[in-house]
Amino acid sequence: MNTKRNMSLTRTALFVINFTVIVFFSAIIYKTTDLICFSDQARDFLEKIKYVPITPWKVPLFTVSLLIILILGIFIREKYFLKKPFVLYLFCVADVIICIAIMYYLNLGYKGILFIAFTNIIIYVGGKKNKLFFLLGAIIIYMFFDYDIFSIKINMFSANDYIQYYTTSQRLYLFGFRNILTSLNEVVFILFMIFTIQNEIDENTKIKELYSRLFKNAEELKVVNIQLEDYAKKSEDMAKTRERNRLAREIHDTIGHALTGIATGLEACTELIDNDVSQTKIQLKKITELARKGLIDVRRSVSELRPDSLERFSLIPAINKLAEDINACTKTKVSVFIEGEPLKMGADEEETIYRVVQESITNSVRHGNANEIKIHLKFNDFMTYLTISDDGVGSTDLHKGFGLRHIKERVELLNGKVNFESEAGKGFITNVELPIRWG
Amino acid sequence: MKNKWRNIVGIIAFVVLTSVIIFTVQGRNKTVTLELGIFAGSNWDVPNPENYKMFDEIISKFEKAYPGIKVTYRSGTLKEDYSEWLAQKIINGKQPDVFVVLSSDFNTFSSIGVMKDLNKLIENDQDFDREKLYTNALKSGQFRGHQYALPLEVVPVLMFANRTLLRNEGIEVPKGDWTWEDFYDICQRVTKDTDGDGKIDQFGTYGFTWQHAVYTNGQNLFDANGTTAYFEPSEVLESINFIKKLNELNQNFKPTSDDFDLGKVAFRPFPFSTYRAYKPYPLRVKKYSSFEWEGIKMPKGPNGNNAAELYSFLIGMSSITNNEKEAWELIKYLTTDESIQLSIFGYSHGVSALKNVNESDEAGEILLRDNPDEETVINMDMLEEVIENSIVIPSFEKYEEAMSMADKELFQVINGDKNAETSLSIIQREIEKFLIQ
Repeated sequence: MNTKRNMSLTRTALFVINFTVIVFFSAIIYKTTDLICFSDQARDFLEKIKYVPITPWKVPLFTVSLLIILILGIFIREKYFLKKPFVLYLFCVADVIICIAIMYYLNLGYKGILFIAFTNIIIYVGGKKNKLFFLLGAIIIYMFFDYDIFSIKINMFSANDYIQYYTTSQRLYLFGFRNILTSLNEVVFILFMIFTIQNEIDENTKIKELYSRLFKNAEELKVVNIQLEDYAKKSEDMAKTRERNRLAREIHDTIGHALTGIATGLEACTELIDNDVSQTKIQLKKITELARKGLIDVRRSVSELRPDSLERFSLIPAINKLAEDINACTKTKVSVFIEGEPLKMGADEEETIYRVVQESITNSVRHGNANEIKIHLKFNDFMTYLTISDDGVGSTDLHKGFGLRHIKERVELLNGKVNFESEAGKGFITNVELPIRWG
Repeated sequence: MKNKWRNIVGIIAFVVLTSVIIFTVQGRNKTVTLELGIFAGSNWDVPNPENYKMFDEIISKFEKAYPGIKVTYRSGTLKEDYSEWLAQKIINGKQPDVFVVLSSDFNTFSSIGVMKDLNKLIENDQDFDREKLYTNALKSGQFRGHQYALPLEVVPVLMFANRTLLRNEGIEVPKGDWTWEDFYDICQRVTKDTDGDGKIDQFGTYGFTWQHAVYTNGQNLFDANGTTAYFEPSEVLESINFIKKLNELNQNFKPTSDDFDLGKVAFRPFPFSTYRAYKPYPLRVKKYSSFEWEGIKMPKGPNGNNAAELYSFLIGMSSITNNEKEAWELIKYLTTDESIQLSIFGYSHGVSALKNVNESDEAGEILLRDNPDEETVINMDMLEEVIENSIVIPSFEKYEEAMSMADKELFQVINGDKNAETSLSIIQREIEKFLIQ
């Protein structure tokens, strides 16, 4: 955070310094022109500079306006175009062009202004390759746009040459001030670079820190996972023990109780059989009763203890049973067609299908006066298709009474689809598609 | 947000539109004011008190002919201050739209881009006919093949003959195409000690320089671009030797300009403007009153013509003028309008660069008015011939310096014992080196 602030501080400083340099150079050009005119050296001056200088008042006007445009450009891209790389590239090219224009107006006597373009490229151009490409271009321009190189081919007269028109002591001050400004500019630019590098280093450290924390967390998670597994095993064992205890209690309470009664009764019968046969018979009846009760208890116990797969009611037999019941009790004929291998379904899925069949049959019989009901069940790998059709009176408007809505809710709860087809006098069809979960 | 942007765009569009309308309407009605840069007095360093009167007259004619244009000028700048005055205007970006250029400034100003290249304007202007002007006069306004200025007037170099002296010596004033030999012959005959004090006090010529010899021998010293020097051709050597020979006539005595003024020199080269200034009354009484004199052609060398260099008074346009079209109209009017050229010819002391003007009867009358002497040999036909045969000294930045280099070396050749041929090849080498620097 601190380096970020330093970076923006150095950038501001760069602008302030360059502004000062521009004002300084413009002032020199302006003032020296006055001096030259005052001392009637204009003709000699023209002979020396070998080109028409830019009108003095235009120098500060144009350079400062261009600098302001440069600053505005930064604000505009900060506000609107930060996420558009192509626009940012264009802006960077514009920066360089503006800097060249400023350099031109200062007669190429000063090229430190290009540092501003450099900082913008470093900040706004993303991607190592692009950044390198842009920076390389800017550096070539920096090297090429040198007064000493340009003045070979083109007649130029840099602001530095204007300084020659002053007395030696004045010249020393002016050169001194110019040198301070230009070196300050360079120093600030170097500072900016240092802060940029520091910023990158900071970011790298932060990333490393985050990575190591992540690694540690993953390790801890592994340990916790093992502990959890251990705990799960323990808790399974405890459940087993608890079940055994219950079983023992159950056996003790039911079979034990009955067997105790039977044993006691039979002992009494042994005593009684010789004296009173009829009394013994009564007694034996009671014992039989008791044994039966015991047997019922045992059955109940066993049924409570039975494992899940055995206890669950099987879908196909249940539907068949339903059909048989209807066939036996009413004149309506129900037929069941099964296609494909019944899948291993979840209890909720089986229950839903059972309930849909049950409700549909009830509806057909009660509202449709159907003579015949056909139940089609088709099992696919992941889908179950159920169609219940009757030859009843049907219905033009499907008022989804409680029953139909109930079906819909059930099916949709399991991500299935249901639709009802009916026309007056042409029966009623219920179509269900139900996806099957595996495992 | 969207509304705000729409408003801003609307306001900008409105401002731009209204300003465009205002400026075009204004531009249509506004009269253009051209600033003309001139100096007081004559370009030819002869007295000309009517210079401003001439320009006032020309300007009022121009303004009448072009109602939308007004021309102003700053009066009071002397010729010797003009160069500095113009330079100050230039470095402040305030140079006049149209200004006259001293020949000493023309090289610098055209090379550094103060002056507008007129080539395109000339090409695009159907009314402008190069053929109307003397080729040599046009050439004098060229720099590296581009026309940067046009001639207001030109002045050829003539030879001034002291008729009194020649008559006393029983020599006829040379007429027509006379040669170096004739020239040398007369000089030899007139160079003598008249009062018997052992010193030569009557001379053949004063001011006939080695350059005059080179030009009258048909040789230019540089090419038009100022990249090549021509000091080695035999014509140059011939010229130097001729000057040396002429000098030897005087033995060790040197004539001065006073000697000429006192009537003791037979020949002296002069620009034609001097002839026009001093020939008529009243100035003829003031100077050269002790003898009669006459203007004749320069003597020609074996390979040249009866003409030396041509001086031009040039006028050009600022390269940063906002009124290029109007400025061009003014320049064109000043340099190619026949009535204007005729009035310049009347007021000033040069010759028009327009063939038509010089061939007109009016010009002949003006010349006759200047010169009541009926014996004169100077007439318009002769002037035309001299102008067309003159050498135009090329304009380039290093001309002055190169010339002074050559002058220094040749001074020793002419007045000393240095070998002319070797010196010329040294000069050739050094100047070529200097030119490509």
